[in-house]
Amino acid sequence: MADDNKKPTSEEQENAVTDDELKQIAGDVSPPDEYPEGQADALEEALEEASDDGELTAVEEGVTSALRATEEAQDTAPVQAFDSAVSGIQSAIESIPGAPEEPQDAHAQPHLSDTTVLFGREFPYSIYTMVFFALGALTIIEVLMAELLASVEIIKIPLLLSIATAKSALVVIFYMHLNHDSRVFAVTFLVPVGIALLSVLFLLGIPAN
Amino acid sequence: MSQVAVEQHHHEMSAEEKARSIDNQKFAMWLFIASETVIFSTMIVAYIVFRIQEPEIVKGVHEALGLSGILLVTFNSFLLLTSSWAMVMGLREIQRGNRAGMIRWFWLVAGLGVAFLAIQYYEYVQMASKGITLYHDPSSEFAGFGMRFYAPTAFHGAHVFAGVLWCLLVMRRASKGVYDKNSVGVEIFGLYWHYVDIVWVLLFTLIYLI
Amino acid sequence: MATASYPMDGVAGQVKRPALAEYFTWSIDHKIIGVQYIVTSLFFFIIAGALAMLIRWELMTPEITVMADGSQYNTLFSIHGTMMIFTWIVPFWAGLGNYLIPLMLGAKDMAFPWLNAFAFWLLPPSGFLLILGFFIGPAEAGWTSYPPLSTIYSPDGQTLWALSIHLVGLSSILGAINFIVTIKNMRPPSMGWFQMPLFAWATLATSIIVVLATPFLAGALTLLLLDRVAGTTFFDATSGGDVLLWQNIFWFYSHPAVYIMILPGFGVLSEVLAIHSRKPIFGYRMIALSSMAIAIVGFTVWAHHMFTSLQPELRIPFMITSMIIAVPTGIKIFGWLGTIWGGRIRLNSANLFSLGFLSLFVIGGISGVMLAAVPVNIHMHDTYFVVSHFHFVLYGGSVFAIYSALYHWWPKITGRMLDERLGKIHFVTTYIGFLGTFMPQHIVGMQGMPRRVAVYDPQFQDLNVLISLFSFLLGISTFFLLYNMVVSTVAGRVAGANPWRALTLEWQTTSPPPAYNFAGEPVPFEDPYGYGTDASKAYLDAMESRFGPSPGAEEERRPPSGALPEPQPAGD
Repeated sequence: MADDNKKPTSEEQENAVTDDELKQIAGDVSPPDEYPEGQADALEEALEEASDDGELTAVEEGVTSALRATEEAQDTAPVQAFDSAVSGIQSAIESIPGAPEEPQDAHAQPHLSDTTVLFGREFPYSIYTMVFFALGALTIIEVLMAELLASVEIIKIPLLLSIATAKSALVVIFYMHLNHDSRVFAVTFLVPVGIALLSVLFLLGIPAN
Repeated sequence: MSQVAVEQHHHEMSAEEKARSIDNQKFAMWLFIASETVIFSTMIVAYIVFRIQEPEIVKGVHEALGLSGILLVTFNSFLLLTSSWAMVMGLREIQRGNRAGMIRWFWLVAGLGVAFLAIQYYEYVQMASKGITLYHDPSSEFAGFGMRFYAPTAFHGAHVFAGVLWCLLVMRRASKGVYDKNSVGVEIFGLYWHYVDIVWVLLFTLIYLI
Repeated sequence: MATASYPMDGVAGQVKRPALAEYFTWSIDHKIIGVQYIVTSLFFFIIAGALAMLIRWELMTPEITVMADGSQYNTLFSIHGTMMIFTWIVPFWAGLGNYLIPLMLGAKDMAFPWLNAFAFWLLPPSGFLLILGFFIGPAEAGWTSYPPLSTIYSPDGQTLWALSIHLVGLSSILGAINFIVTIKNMRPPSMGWFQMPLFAWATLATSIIVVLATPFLAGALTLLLLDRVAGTTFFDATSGGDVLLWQNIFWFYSHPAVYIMILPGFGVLSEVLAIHSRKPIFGYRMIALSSMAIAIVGFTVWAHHMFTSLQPELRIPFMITSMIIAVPTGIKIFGWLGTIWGGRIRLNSANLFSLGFLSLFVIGGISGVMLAAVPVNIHMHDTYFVVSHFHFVLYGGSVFAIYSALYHWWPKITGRMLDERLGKIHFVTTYIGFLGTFMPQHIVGMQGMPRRVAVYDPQFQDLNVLISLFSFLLGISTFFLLYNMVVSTVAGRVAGANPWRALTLEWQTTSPPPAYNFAGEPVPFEDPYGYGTDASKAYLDAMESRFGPSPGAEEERRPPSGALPEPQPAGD
């Protein structure tokens, strides 16, 4: 298919702009930060000129006065607060990092080390193994609690749920590398959890049938 | 503004920036996980509503399973947790450049996945013999539990099965040296496998312990 | 088809189209996949449109006359609704996004080309599963498929229906993941988030909704399938199930899904109105961020579909959120009005459909706010007022935007112009047919005619005959478009690279673009909507010197005889 594309002839290439020139043109502009002012006055003038008797109709009056009110509102505190909030969102979005240029060089990262420093002590296991020990211990505690507190549901259920959450958190943070990966991944993971929790809570809150 | 962006692009990325950058495949996997969360939540909520409305039936099921039943499932959970650990250890090996070491760990991952499925199958047979059925059986004392139990656990089991197949594929590709330079392919399988593990952690607590 | 491209002197922007056979095979080129999506969805649009014609034919009389019985009528509106939503509007947007997003972002392809092709090839089987239902008794429970209608009273076609929607759901989730990663990571370095074309923003918001909401439907469908084939009773209240569970989970998905259907249309409008008014878009930031706001608030309004089945205390909160979500949409409407205000508007077919969208969508939006008010809703629930409301937003909104997009990007996709005169006939017939069909439905709805019935009170017959006649006009109007597309493909006027003199990147390459989209690194104009400035004129002239003049819109640019001189010196 690529062969079908008509290559520009040498003549055309001479006339065509070079990439550098194009970059100059394309980057030489920035969108205006503010909306133009004085539109209301300009409109009113134009309308008066266009009408036969120099008087504005009711509709035209309405439009110009609405426009004028909008222009005046630009300088009020609520509008400016809203504007700075939107600018905040904008710069937050703009700070999201891009794609890596080359495959990540994972060597020399702390999680590849054979030892782990925890609470000031050094253990002869990697962080992954330490987390595995923690997961095993938590599971045993969970089953023990379930058996021991079988009749005390008011304590048992919140306790077991928080242990399960802790186990999941350990896996997500250490095994799925959220501790040193981009925060965008964390958001991607947590937003649906939040939405799912909302829907679960809603369905629990309404009586069936 | 564009000038700034261009400069940023060309300067050497620091280690910090590299770590925080967003890889296409990893991002896609996280998005997939996001939608999986929502699917699982619909099945889990069906179970939780039942647990709240019919606590006696669930208690009856736990008693019918007995301590031995609970211990068997606990052992099964351990298998999955261990496979998750084997998974990250394997990832660590390939990131250090040790292809053979990674494949050894991944045999453990796949083996533990298969063992998990085998035990789950055994457990299903046991439950069916106690009258816990997928279809609604009004005569059973556990009426209504079966469907809300089998739907999420079997759906999870299907994920484990798919994971085992994927694991074998990753091992095959690794033995050809696909991941020597770039281990992202292994990492996204890891994300999936750990996610399946997390779902089991929650299902285990919700269904068997609470 | 490849032979249709004859060289023209001085038209370097003209290249050959891909061979016809490529469209019938597994291709991982996003442009081929985009066209595959568009053509497939048009095919299902025609089938679903024919079903609508049958519905209107039946409703000419208050008795059952055309159909054998009521349940046959039920299948008509069930399959009509399902097909229009899941195999026409949703996949069309996926197709248009597929074609345009990499081009707009200056990328060579989507982030995951193979996944892209896979997502498309799930679509034809799912459509044919729906059609297959007609041979074994199709779904009868409406597109919402509430149990117990969908579990006990519907024939086997309902099972195929559920499988079909499962496939579409999977397809759109995979597509959405692809879109998000592409938009996030594949832009050229000089294009920041807020220099993206607004269509990309709209697609991003849509994709976020798809990833987070469609799985709810997948989960509910799985439970529905189990109820139908495995004897479970998740939704059977007589055996410990919960009928409301379906309604809740379905609307967790389906309310966000209406934004899946309309948000890309908003994106199209932002492009078309700015380009054809030759003015910068008014309030770029607010239009971009209001898409995201809609995506977020869209998750909190679902229960307004269930005011009659919900317990009363929850009605007011959902009424409030449902009215709040009209605000971001209103922001967009004012943004577009501000854009065309004082612009040098080209009244070509693309822009006419966009202006038509503006007028009709506002009516649909306002009737939506009316329905969000609980007292009105209780009265209007399940009447033709509701039918009219969602046709105003889905036909007057989404489909008008689709038509606008087709007229606008057809030159880029095929390298040929669509005929303007046919396009204007298409617009006029569609607009009149649409208003005649759906405006009177407000009235019959308020008078109390229920929807989804074939037998109705004879007092409504006069208006229904009127509605049916106009709907036939609406049906016929579609053929102007189809005929236009066929004629243009075979013998259309050559378009050239940039017939509209647009600034976004998809126009800064040949029409149709080469397999690799851009020769060399594309250089985006920093302000994608900076029309009417000297800088944009210089950029467009530079591009014209690269790709040659675009003969497609010459008539457009020539001032009409007797017209006033150009009002602005730097007109472009």
